[in-house]
Amino acid sequence: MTRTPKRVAMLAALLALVLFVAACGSSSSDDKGGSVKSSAGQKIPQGKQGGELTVLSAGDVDYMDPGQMYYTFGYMIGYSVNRALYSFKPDNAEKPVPDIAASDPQISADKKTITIKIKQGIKFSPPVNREITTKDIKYAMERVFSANVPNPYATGYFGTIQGAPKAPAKGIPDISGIQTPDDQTLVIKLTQPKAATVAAALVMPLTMPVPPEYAKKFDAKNPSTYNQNVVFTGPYMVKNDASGKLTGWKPAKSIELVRNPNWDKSTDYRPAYLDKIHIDEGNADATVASRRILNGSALVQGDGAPPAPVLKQAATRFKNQLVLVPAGGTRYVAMNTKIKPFDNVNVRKAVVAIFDRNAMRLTRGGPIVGDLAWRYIPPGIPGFDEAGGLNVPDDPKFDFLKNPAGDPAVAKKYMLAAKQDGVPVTADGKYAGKEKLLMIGTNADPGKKSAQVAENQFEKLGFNLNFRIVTQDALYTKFCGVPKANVAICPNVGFFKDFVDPESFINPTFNGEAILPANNTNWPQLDDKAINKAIDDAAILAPGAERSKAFAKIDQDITLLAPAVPWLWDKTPLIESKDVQGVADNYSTVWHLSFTSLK
Amino acid sequence: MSTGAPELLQEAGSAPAAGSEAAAIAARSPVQLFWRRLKQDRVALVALAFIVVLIVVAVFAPLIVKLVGARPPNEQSTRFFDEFGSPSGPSGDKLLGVDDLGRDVFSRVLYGARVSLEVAFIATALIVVIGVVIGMVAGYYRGWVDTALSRSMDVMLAFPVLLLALGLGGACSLGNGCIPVNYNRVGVVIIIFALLGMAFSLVRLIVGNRRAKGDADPLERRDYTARIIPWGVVLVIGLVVELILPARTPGIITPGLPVVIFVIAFAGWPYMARIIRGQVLSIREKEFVEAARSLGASDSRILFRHILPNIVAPIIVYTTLLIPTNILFEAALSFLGIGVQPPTASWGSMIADATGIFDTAWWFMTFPGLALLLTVLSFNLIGDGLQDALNPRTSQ
Amino acid sequence: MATYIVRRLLWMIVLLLVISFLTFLIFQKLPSADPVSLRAGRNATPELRASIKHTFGLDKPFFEQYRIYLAKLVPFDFHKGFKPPDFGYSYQNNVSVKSQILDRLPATAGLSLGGVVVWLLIGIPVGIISAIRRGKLSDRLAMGGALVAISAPVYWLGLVMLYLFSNDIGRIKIFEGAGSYPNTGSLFSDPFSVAPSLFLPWIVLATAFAAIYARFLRGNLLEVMAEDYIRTARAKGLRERTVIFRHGVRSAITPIVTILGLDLGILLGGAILTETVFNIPGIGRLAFDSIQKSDLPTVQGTVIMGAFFIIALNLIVDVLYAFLDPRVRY
Repeated sequence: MTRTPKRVAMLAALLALVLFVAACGSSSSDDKGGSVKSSAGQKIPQGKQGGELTVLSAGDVDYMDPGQMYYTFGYMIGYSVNRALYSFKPDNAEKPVPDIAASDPQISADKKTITIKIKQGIKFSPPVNREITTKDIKYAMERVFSANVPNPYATGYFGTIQGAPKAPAKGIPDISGIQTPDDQTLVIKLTQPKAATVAAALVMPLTMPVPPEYAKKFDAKNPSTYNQNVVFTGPYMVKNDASGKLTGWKPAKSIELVRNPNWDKSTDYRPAYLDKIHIDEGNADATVASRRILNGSALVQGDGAPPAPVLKQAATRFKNQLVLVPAGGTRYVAMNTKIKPFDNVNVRKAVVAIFDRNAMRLTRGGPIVGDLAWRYIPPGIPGFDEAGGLNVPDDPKFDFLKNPAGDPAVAKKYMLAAKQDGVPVTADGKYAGKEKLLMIGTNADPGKKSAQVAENQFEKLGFNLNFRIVTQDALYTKFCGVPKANVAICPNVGFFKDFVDPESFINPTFNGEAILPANNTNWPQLDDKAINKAIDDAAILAPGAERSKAFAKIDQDITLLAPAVPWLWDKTPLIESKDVQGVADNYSTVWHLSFTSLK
Repeated sequence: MSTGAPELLQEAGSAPAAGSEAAAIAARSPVQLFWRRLKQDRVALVALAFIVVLIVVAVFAPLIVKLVGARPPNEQSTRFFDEFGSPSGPSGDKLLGVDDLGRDVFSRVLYGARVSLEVAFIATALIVVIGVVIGMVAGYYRGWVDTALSRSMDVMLAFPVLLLALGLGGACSLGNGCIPVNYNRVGVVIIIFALLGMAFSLVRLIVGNRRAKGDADPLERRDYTARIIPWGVVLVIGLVVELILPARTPGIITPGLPVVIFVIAFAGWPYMARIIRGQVLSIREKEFVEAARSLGASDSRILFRHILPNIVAPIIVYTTLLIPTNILFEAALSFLGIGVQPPTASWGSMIADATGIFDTAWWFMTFPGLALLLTVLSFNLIGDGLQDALNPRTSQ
Repeated sequence: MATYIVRRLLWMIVLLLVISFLTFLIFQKLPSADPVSLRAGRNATPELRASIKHTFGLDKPFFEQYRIYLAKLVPFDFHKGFKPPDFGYSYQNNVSVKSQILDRLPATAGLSLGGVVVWLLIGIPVGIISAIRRGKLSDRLAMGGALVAISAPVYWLGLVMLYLFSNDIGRIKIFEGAGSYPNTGSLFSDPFSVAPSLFLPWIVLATAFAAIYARFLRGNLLEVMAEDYIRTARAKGLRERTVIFRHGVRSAITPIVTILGLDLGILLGGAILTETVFNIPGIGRLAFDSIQKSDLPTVQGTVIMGAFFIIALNLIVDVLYAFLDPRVRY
């Protein structure tokens, strides 16, 4: 990853947004689904104690080990069995609250030191049983820099800590920049003035404490076997035996969560109503699983949204069992700006103009699944309103985005303009080139349908396509995420928030400097010098109105370059059985297990 | 019924009325008898008619679609959706309803016939050719040739077929296919033809006239060598063609139909080869082969003039059983996601598309399935009819 | 006979080795996804990718990787003697492949064995009766029905059955639907709660096979009944029933053993289509998913397991045949 120090600084400043109550995202994401509940702005209801809940999921958690977990489903379990330094209450995805920490982090004047005090009385689950100290957090943060505990974001967010290794280290490194003057105090020293970023990243799971005397023997192996022997600090824990082995986790089959006997309710903001949670995995057929949830008892969904037909049933017959959570993401169809004819901006605008975005949205279930997107920063993220909000402005510059069903006249206009640039175009505005452009779609529904609709749109303008459907994994690891594969069109891409800030939407996806040889997320491979500079400049700005405005302008500029066809600002549908009082977590867009209860 | 009485006797019983022809009791050849029996099997004839109709439909699909006024098979439309994107079913202007992308199911079923028939015929042809050649060589020559070939068959047969197909199909469906070398179609065909010919001649040369060890006629030996040279010439022609003509076809096994055909042929030839080998093994011990050999017939003469005609019957029978199996195989592969690429309509992929929605939208699961059922059934009926016509002993 | 069995066993080992090599070759050289990228996640650094690649051992040369794999797989070690075979760990979730396969085996076994029982119970009587009443209406109907049953794709039949009879979405709610197979417990440990969710899969699986066996048995029986020794038995004055069952069926049924073994072997390797339609967590499904995700160790494990069942059952069938048919001698 070619991250220059300047860029990390930008990242830092941007993430600082999270800690400060800024003019964050508006509630302009109107719920067009009629009377279906939206979780934006919900009040957390009181619940009844007791009961057993079952979660139906298709896959398994990526990891139980907090040092390695990175995907949403892992978070769903992870944040109810573990506590991080800071975490999000379900109703507020913007400002984290102190969890293990006792108060907000103190940042020194030179922005190179962070001081955190932690609460007392928080204990590890059996078999460790003792109270946690800051040494446990120090060890947790050090182990993720080891080659035995591969963590994809450690260097990115925490690489500026003094003494942090640049490459995965053999064994567990001792990082001098993480200091524990006493059992309740943690001091982090940085090599650069990025305290705001690092402080914001303290919500990530790698700050969940790990007891060194217990974990060292597992971490000595490569890969570490702590994953099968985790100890917990949250209200719930995975059932384990006397030696700490997680007997309650049968990988790819089920997970048993029981109450953590050492959890002290007075130290936590979580109510933890349920007595037991059973996670039932391997429900690969989302349709069947969703039906079971809607018709059954004490069931909720884990990963995997209900497919469109079941969503329809839910929205019409089971309205009270459906909640829509703004997903904080944008879906788009990326065009490779390095391949002819998509290197010409008029051609790209023509494509956007002809695209029937309504049809794209119908493949996922229609208006209920979200708003039609025309830019990249989604609702709920700072900068959304400043960039223009939900509706396309009447400015003639945006004429190619005006009609969501596609506008052949406007498309023709841009194609003829491209003709002036030398692109082979026929007299009636269709592409005249004969080469086959490579387009790779996913075979996972509903992406497969969206890809086919997208193909249809391109064909309307006369493009010849070499359209291939591959597995989701192949799509990312062999085609769209690999610039060398020279894929001209990637219809199934999108970006979803890691944090509530616009930089994380714009930088890895449209900054020319962020293009990677593998696991690339700048799918259009946009490399516009002016935009790159604007992003770099805006990134340094402190969170606030100025920063939001700057990114809003960048969003508009990128949109005008039409590197992709944005089409959906998602709402994640969550379904529950009728006897469940589910509380949706706005941050990770799943049900929050520590707040959900049975009616 | 008869218990092995010669076919001629059976037919004599149903000979035309006496006196209708002067030299009435002319012996009928087995072929004529076979046709007669087949014509009497009404069910098989109906099935045959259905297949003929199907082939016509497949060939003329575009015309039929236009005549009926249905929309083209790949034309998407959101006109028939409700606000949740659910498709609507059979009604006035859309005979069999629309699928989940708004495409007309009737058109797609018609076009799907093309895929099924094309794959079935080509893949079966490949399997028969490869299987028969290898089976004959293994069964006739025995010895280490047989061992080598049989062991290869064993390995292939032990491989879980669907998994092999999935693995190869998945891998070969990426990008430019499995053997991503640009080539020229004509050149490659000539080269393959030459290689096959050379291989066959070579086997014969190596194994040689074993029965005539020692007293081999030197002329005969040179005769074999002389046979290889012409194949060599053909090979050179093929290479020249390959080098001269432009190489525009990318990849030998490109995603889509070629992958499916390749996978089915690759997985299927051992079954055919095994059966043919068994047949050849039993026939080669028969007296007439012994007689031919003692008269000095060469191996190839024996194989082609004596053995092959006698296994034609089982070849035909197994071929007709193989076609429906391959149709189902292709449909299964499409169902599992390997196979023809969207938006090409294939009955198997249409059923796969319908799995999420079939409880409310039953039509685009039902009609492709019925099409498959009727097609496979017809081939099975024809196969049964052929079997009965060829082997009257086990007829109904 | 004993030497024959030993020879076949040795050959089985050779076959499995060859198959494991071929599988390794195919799935290594033509992977459908990149397992390193999958594990590494979004925005992974090149160092992390290299580290993961090293952990998986994918940075070694091809034959070295195969040698390591083989060394772990073969249940014999020159230093330690016999050891349990190690199928490696899944790239997906680091779980031992062996435990995953063993975990899923009961589901596949339950489906297959139950299916076998059902189709034998249906197919054999139908075949015999059809042969006895040859030419009559019941025969024609049975054989016609059988032909239709063979011609329908099994997964389509499954969907149609679900549409008609499943108790969550069916028109006539009789049987348990797809997704009712419980996550814990199997047919062998918990028959009463698991069996109902297998009824529909058994029926669907058995339909096609029962038809094949009925036709096959009928054909065989007709041929046998035409033999001379049957005529002799009748001439001796034996009752028709004895003639049919003691002499006719007994000879006609031996080839059934052959194809039964083969079919069972293939099914135990994983009935992918049925497992997919009915959401049964069996080996077939495991194989399919791991192929999609390029999870090489799991793919290897399932393929070898499948091949093992096919070969082993082939062998059992051949040996059984020798016992049943005195004409066969090895």
